[in-house]
Amino acid sequence: MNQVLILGKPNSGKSLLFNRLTGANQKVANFPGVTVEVKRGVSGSTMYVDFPGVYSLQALTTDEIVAIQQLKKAVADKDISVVLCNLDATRLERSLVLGVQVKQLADRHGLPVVFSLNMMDEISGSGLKLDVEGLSKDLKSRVIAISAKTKMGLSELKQALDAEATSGKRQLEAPIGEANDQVDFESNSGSLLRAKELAKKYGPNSSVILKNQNRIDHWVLSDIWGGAIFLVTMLVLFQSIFSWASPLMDGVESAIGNIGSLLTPLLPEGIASDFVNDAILGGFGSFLVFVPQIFILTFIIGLLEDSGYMARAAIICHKPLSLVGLSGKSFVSLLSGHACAIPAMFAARIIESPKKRILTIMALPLVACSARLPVYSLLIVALIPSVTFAGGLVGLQGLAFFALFVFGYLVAGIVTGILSKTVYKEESDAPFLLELPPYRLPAVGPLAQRSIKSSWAFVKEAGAIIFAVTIVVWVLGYFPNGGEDLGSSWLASVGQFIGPIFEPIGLDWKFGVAVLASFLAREVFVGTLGTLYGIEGADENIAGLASNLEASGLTMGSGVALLVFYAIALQCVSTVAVMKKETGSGVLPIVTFVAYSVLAYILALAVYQLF
Amino acid sequence: MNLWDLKQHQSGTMKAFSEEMPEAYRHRLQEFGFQKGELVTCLRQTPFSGPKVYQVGDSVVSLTQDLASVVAVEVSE
Ligand SMILES: Nc1nc2c(ncn2[C@@H]2O[C@H](COP(=O)(O)OP(=O)(O)OP(=O)(O)O)[C@@H](O)[C@H]2O)c(=O)[nH]1
Ligand SMILES: [Mg+2]
Repeated sequence: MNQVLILGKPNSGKSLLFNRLTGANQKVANFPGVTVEVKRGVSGSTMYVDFPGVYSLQALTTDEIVAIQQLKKAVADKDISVVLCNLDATRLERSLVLGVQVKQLADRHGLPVVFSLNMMDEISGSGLKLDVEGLSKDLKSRVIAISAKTKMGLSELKQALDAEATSGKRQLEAPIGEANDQVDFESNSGSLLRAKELAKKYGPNSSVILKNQNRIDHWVLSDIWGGAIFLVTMLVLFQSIFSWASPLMDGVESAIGNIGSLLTPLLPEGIASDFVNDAILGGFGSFLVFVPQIFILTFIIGLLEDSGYMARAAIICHKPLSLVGLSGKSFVSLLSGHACAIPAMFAARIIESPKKRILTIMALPLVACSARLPVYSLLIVALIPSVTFAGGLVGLQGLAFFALFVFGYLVAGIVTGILSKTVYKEESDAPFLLELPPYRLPAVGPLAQRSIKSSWAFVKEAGAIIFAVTIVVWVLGYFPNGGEDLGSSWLASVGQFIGPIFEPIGLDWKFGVAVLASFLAREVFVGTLGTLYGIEGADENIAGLASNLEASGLTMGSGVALLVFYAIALQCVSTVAVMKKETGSGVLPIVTFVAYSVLAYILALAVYQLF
Repeated sequence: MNLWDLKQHQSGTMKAFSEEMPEAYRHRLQEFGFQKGELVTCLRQTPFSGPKVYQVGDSVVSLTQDLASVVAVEVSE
């Protein structure tokens, strides 16, 4: 099998190209440093390898050291047949710094290089010209003009790769002895000069390309407008999670209700029908209702990431975040943490400063992630009337949602602020440096696909846990008296045992069981409560868990205390595991878990006492 | 005069990195186009006196004060 190594500068479109070539769905975003791990994909008889982008073979951060080592190892690897070096035509000189070095390195290993000159749609869109042929002659390599976005030139690119891979050039020019991979400073400044020369000779006029971007930045980064645009963007983002998802959620809810009423007559009375109604539809079903919200959240964050705004947001946030020991780049990671803390912890690798990176990782479990959404929505709907102002644009429930998100950030800021001045005071720091990508219209299609895929992955992953827990809860709650009396079930006995923990917050044992079960994964909370109310409900009343909660007499004080608890507690086994991987510490995740659990309980208690 | 002193929309010719610039950062900035003799423009100051945005050649880069203030530039009036 031919193996093609895709290399190139960050944000040059490698991953989009990789997706086009292999049909994969790797994350693509308009921000440098999106891909952090090597990813393989196969198409026909060719394997493509997508690499994290690097600016040159000289590293700035420890993660770049790793990426560059991997890159050098791969180039030396006999199984690789050709290097595909991706250039951003709109940033030709910048792309060629690495391009020239990669070419040098590959030459030493007798490895052929094909250059793809990407983003040609933007070049022709601004009426610019680029001398592809001249560049190709000068580089002594094939250079193919492409657009990963419009798919222009992709078949020529594949042909060129095939031709190089099968020419057997690799074997012919195999290096003698150990190749010297060290690109020393001499050749580094050499490659800088060469890149400049090539770009000047063959490249487009860059000032034309940058004009648009600079015109928008004039507003987006201005003193007054910059802050206002930022705040409005955030408000719209979180508000829309709530309002846009509502119709979809109602749809899922009524679909589940319909399935229930279709199924019930078909099932024999008694245990089977009770199980389907209480556990499957009531428990698992009430979780499914919230999946559209997770989809919309992923989608909207994706829109923002693909627009180029994230880099600007990072700049605007840098100063305020520095006050609490974080970097502007932390914002990029924290915002993606609203979808899920796990990829967000990987995204924290873009932060140059080891200190700020670890503090970002510590802050991430406090960001309102999508697994918290079901819990938040359920309680908000149960507690807060659905009143809207400004012609339906702003809603009370949406505002409550926003408040919870802000609360998460507030606690995170206090925690990292304290840690940066105490525990991590001496940890090594590094300055902030960021290349600003152009503004682009987000690619809605691929983004929608990716959001569907990740929501589906969420359903599968969380679904398995919820399903298992739901069944256990149902069995314990249904027996020994056949669902006649939840209060004297096995589960109730367990509940009595843990009751004293939750009594001070004004919560009965049912909530206690749900909270405890959700230490596996937060979203279990909804499934568990759904099951319990399913068993308890005399009539099959699957839909409307929120109204069940309302009817159960959940007070405002307990409800808010519960929200505060969920906003802080680290109830996610996978987050703890990734935290261990990304920090290389076994103790830190455990300490964090315990600390956040205790803090969550104390604050919940305080809130309940205040009300 | 250093990069941080450049006012919005002011340009200067890049002279040298001072000793205080960490080596890895010097390399990265050179790769971004901050090389001797190049024309650097300060595109924007940002809210809360955050990082400033500079253009050099085809790159637009944002730098904080700790980096920008150790890059010497010359302004010809
Ligand atoms: N207009 C246009 N945009 C493109 C093209 N190829 C990629 N993009 C956009 O460029 C941005 C970066 O694309 P990615 O594929 O994530 O870039 P990457 O090289 O993998 O970046 P890193 O993983 O950060 O190294 C995204 O916003 C893409 O939508 C293209 O041919 N034309
Ligand atoms: Mg990528």
